[in-house]
Amino acid sequence: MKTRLVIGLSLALNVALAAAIFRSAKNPPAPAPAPAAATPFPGRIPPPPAPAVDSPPPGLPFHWSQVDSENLRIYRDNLRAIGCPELTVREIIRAVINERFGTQRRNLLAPLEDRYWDMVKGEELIRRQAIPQAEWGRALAALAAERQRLIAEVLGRDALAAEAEQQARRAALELRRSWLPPEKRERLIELEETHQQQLITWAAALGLQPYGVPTAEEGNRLQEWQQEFDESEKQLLTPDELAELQLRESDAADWAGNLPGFAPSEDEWRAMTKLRSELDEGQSQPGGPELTEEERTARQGELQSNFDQTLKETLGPDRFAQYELANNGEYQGVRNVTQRYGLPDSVAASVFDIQQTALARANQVSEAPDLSPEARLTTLTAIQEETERALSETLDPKVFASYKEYSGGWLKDLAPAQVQSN
Amino acid sequence: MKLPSFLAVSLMCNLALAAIFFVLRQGPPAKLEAPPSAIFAPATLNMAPSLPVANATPAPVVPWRLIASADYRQYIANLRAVDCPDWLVRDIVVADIDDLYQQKARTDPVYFAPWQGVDERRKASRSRSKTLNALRQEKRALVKSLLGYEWDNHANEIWHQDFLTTLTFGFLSDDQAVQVLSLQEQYAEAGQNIREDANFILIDEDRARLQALYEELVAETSRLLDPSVFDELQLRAQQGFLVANDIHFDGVTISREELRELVRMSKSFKDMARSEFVPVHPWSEAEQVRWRAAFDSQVKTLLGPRRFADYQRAQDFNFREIFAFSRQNNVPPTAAIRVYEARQNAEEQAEEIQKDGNLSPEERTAALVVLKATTLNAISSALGRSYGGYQARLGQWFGTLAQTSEPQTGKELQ
Repeated sequence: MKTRLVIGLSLALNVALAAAIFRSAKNPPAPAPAPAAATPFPGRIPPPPAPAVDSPPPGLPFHWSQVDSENLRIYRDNLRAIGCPELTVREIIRAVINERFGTQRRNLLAPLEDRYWDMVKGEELIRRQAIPQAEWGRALAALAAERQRLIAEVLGRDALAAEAEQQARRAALELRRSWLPPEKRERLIELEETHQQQLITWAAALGLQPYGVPTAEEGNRLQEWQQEFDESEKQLLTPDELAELQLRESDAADWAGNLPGFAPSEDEWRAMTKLRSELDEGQSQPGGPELTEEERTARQGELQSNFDQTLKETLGPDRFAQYELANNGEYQGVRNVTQRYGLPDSVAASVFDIQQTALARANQVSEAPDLSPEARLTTLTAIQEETERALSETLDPKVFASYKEYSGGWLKDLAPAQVQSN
Repeated sequence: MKLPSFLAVSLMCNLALAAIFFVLRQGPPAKLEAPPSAIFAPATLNMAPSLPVANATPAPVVPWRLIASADYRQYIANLRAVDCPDWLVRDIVVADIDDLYQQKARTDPVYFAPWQGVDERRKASRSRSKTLNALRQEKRALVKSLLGYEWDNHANEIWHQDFLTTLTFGFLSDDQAVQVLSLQEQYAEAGQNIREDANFILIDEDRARLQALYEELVAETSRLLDPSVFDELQLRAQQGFLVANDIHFDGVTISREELRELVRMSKSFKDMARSEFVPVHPWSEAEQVRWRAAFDSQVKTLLGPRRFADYQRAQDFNFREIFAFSRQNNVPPTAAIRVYEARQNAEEQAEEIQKDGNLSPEERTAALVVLKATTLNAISSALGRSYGGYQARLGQWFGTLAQTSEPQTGKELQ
């Protein structure tokens, strides 16, 4: 009886060991971890190379020629078969293709190399767009196209790069939506991706239609998808969240990132973005189709004027003045220079005032009907000199030199060499 | 079989299976101890994803994980040990390092709340850029420490893809070309950082830093190449001077050596590579006239008076136009020169006739008609069968030749 029990146990152990061996062969264990002393990436530039430590693992029963092949598909499959990571497979195949094409390219270029300076003389290298038409350009283009074709044929679409790119896009979107609860954020991105996929499918189908005109059925489908998406979004988000999403992602939302010299508070940004959205919407539909062009322009002017007025009331006069100043391109030019020298914005504002005063005076002189050209030129030159003095005092000569270089073109135009008589 | 014998066989099987299992669990042979300066790759290196195995070819016996190593030096040694070609070893390891640093660069992306102003954003972006630059520098240092030279796969791709680069650097070996391009990329990036830090408003300190950076680039490049190769590289970088200053050589006999010499001397007027790196203060019109005169004087010394006259002619658009036409229509260059001279003479004479206050309107008209006829005759005789084509394509100026205008008075001319 005992013998039978021992035989039973032994047989069971055999089965278990066989199963374990089978699993082990399918999933080889991870290699031994690196020594603890060798912490990966200490976060600084590594020291110079150590003396020759490059001894391979002993007894590698392998030679590169066992995977190498003239046939790139076989080369690729051999690499995959030995467990080479896909990224490395791609890189090896690309490198091999480069190497093979490099030789052909060299052969093509060798006779050109002698002619390099003749080509410079003949201006053959300055017309980049003409290169593909030249005989050598055509040959190189054909070779480059062949290289690309071979890469695509052997390696196919770079799924890893596409995946990494999509992950990066998703990460950026998640960051932008970090104000939403994580599960809603995730779900919203999924909804958008599905909708995006629908649009891609729809557009692709449209490309197959004669002249790319959608049928009524296709038009309806698009509308349905849009409605479905809007509905799902409404179900997912509370009304406040939806309003916040629309505000943050509206076309008008980015203004603060394009306005140097005006840093809005969060409340100011919200108020102004709403107003800007309303203005944009109003200006895109300034009235019915019955309006004439003049009426439409007048209506748009009215909307702009209402916007300015409401904005002034919302921000208060001081902040509104700052906002207006920041919107002025000339002021931004001055401010770039003063910022470079670490000067306060008040200095930029003073320079801007000097500029505006000088331009107004020069304008008056230019339009004065009773001045002779000589008198006009003398007066304008005097204004120019006076303005340069004032600017140099306000900025100090060093900053003024930079200002003249980067933003002072108008100073030269104050007193043009030729002054016309009115 | 009797039970004890069966038990003995089963127990032997137990032992054999246990031995096999033990060997398999040991995995690959243990790697060598990492050297003190070991440089490590990401853990993912050793984890080969399960990929479809080719049916067509028998799988080699050694799995990749015996070759790959978290220590790049070991990785290189392993690849060399299995006789992987050196250029492939380099490309494999550099690609792996690229991937590693791409992953590192993806962490901590910059995010701005929509109400954050430009200044705040710029500050954060610059700080992020600094981090990324530091990573790139670290990557380059790592590559250089492993290979002993600069190598950038992006530069390698440009070398393979961009025809003009291929042609311009074609006198270098593949390795030299990529190394030079890698250096240029590295220094261009450093220069761009200085410009961005300055918000593109360069002050003297910025220019001095850019200047120092450029000197370093030149020094490093010169160390890579033989003096004669380096000289050629500099000349090729300088040849853009000709395009930038609208200098042409149509119809000028100039040897390759003379052209190289001309390009060499142009460097003292404007060093193209340097000025691209360190923007110079723009010249005033008067300064431009002065330097052009000085440059032309040197060209005259180089070419001699006769060929200098040809050179001056080549700077005239009208000459280049007829010269190109003659080439396209297999007309000898001498004919192109005759047409050009006929046109120049005709235009000068027409101007004199127009200015001549002693002529009556009828006399002026008659004089211009005669001039036009004589000129067309000369051009027709120079161009032969191509005259019709010339008239249709470039002959608009014939019409203006016989147009009369009131002569200007002496006062107006002053």
